[in-house]
Amino acid sequence: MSEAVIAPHARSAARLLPRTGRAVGLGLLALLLLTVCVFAIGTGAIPLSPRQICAALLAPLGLAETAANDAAIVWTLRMPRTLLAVLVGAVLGLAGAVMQGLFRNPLADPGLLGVSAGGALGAVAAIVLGLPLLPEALRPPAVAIAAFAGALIATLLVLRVATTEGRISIPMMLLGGVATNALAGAATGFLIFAADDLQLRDILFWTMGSVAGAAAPGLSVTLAAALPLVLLMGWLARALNALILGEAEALHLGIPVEAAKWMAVGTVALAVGAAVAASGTIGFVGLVAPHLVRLLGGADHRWVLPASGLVGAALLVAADVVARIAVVPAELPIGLVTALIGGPFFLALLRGRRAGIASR
Amino acid sequence: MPSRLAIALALFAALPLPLSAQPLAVTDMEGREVRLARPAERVASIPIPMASTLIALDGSTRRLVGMNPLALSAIEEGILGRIFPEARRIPANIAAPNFVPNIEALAATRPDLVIQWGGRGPDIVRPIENAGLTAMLILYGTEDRTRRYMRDAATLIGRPERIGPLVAWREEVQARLSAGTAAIPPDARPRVLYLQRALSGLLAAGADPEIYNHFVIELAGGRNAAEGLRGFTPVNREQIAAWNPDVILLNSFEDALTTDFVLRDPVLSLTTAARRNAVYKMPLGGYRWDPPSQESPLSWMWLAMLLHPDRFAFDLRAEMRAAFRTLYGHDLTEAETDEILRLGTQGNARHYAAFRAR
Repeated sequence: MSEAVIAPHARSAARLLPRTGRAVGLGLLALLLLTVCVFAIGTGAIPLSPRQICAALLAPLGLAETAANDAAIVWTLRMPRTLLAVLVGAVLGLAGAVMQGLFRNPLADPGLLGVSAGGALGAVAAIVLGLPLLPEALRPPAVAIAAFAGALIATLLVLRVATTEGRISIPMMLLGGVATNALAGAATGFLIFAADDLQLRDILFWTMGSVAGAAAPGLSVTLAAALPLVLLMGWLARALNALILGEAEALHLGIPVEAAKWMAVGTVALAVGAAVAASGTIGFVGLVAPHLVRLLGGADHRWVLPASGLVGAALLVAADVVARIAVVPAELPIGLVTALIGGPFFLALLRGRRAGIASR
Repeated sequence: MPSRLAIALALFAALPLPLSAQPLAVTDMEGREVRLARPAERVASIPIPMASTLIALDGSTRRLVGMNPLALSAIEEGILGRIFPEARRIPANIAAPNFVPNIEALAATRPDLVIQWGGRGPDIVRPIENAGLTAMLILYGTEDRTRRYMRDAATLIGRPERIGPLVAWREEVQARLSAGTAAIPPDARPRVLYLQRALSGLLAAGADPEIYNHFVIELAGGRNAAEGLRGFTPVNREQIAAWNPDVILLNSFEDALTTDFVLRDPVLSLTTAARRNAVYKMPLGGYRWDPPSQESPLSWMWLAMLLHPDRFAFDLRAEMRAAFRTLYGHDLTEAETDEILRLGTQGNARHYAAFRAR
């Protein structure tokens, strides 16, 4: 890892937000997320007034009367997909921030572990090779399980390449990740080549991501898989802050560096694997959210990790709203929206940063 | 009442037949000249629906020497595999499911004629031409195109006498339906939604003249509920609730799809179609009834009877028996007819009693 790459992090790490500043910032981001969610639940093909939505939301508690139609729309369609977008967006944002901290590279994202490419390969393999053999009722969970398995297998492969005597080499992990991604991409390409028209439809839906299929089982599995990452967030933040100085220095500060690396990789793979299995591969959120957050409040991981989760969630919920209303009555894949908006945004961000560096 | 197809057949049987030993030529749907010194005895068919069409045009499996693996599975799943058990032994390795030819396997079938998709670029055509084989390219999706490729194929296999009655039957049923629905004002036409995919992502057929299902809905006196949509397009369940169709047609491609998909869904079950029990899965005959095929007029009559039972009282079972006799030389049993129409699973759907054996 070159000095030039580490430098921006180290510089901004000096700008540590005080505890109250962090709390206020996170509170504002939570408010932003809530606003976006309210907007998402209020938006859709069927026009519902705020009063109708409130009635539908309160009806199960016996606090209001509502039409069966309104309740079904709000509770079985808009609410689950908004919650799944929150969950997946939060996982991607948080995981992206952890990866960028761990690799000390602003271009890192969970994809570097091979999670996304491995997940895609698992799902596509299930669609092309496995599904015809399965009864129809088992097919959607089979694709999700295969995606999850693919994500974890790819991560294990990367870890195997990167580990010697129980120690993870970060540069080796980066290279192993690149190779695993290429391999998984080629295998996916071959399967796509061998797929028929109908399977291609399935694959397309899947590789471009969607939260439209959100339902209670997928939501609870994703939530469970994301919990370790969320619970360890505070500990990881302190470890990543110390790692900015380098591994040896972090050890001197009393950080169990190897344990931190294993924890980071393990929890990210688990959470992102489940997110990919629930909603397909969705790009750019994991990359963009941490950058936005660092622009807003500096590079202290005690701020960057939770804030990236909140921003990632808000970004994905907003992208889902765009996916639903951009080409009404049709619906866009959400991964397309995040790439279409995220790509140019990221380019502008890089351009701005370059201008900033040049003017120093 | 004699069936419409039987009358058409009788009329065309009186026409003189061409000599089958003369050289044959057609300009295919990509504008290529296809020449054969004599009628093709051995035909390899790569597009999926074409295998069953060739069997129908010839009235036998004799000339079909190779097909798409998915064409074989459609034959094995449906009734065609029982009518022509020998079809299961026809090689299905001449192309990948995505229509990329396997040239060695294709050449091993020694075809006089290879039928391939047009409109999908030269990559799936050139290997066939480079191997010195004669290819005819077809386009799909509209009624005109269907008649055209059926006619071209019948010509090249030396069975032009078969195509006249089949096209006449299509014209006759089409004219009858058009006349019967002409006076129906727009707001009395049921709003019909066709879902080409349901189990893995909803794909709706748009109100688009290029989409066959749209054409059939209008021909049968309905209106396409998917207004503002082109092609087959992903939609969400809320959009379907917003359209609130009077009738929902489910595709026959997804094996495990049943009307419960709509009737038991918390949102879709609130549509008018579900509340009236007007949700139907498309039948599967010698080929699927949702895309165009040699059996399309049966599919048109089926839908017209469901949309306007007061205007159309065909004896669909008799029409099916006559059509299967002509197309495949097969006498449909009552049980087979029930199976094609899916009376076992959707016999209680709205207006479906008209299809029961009397």
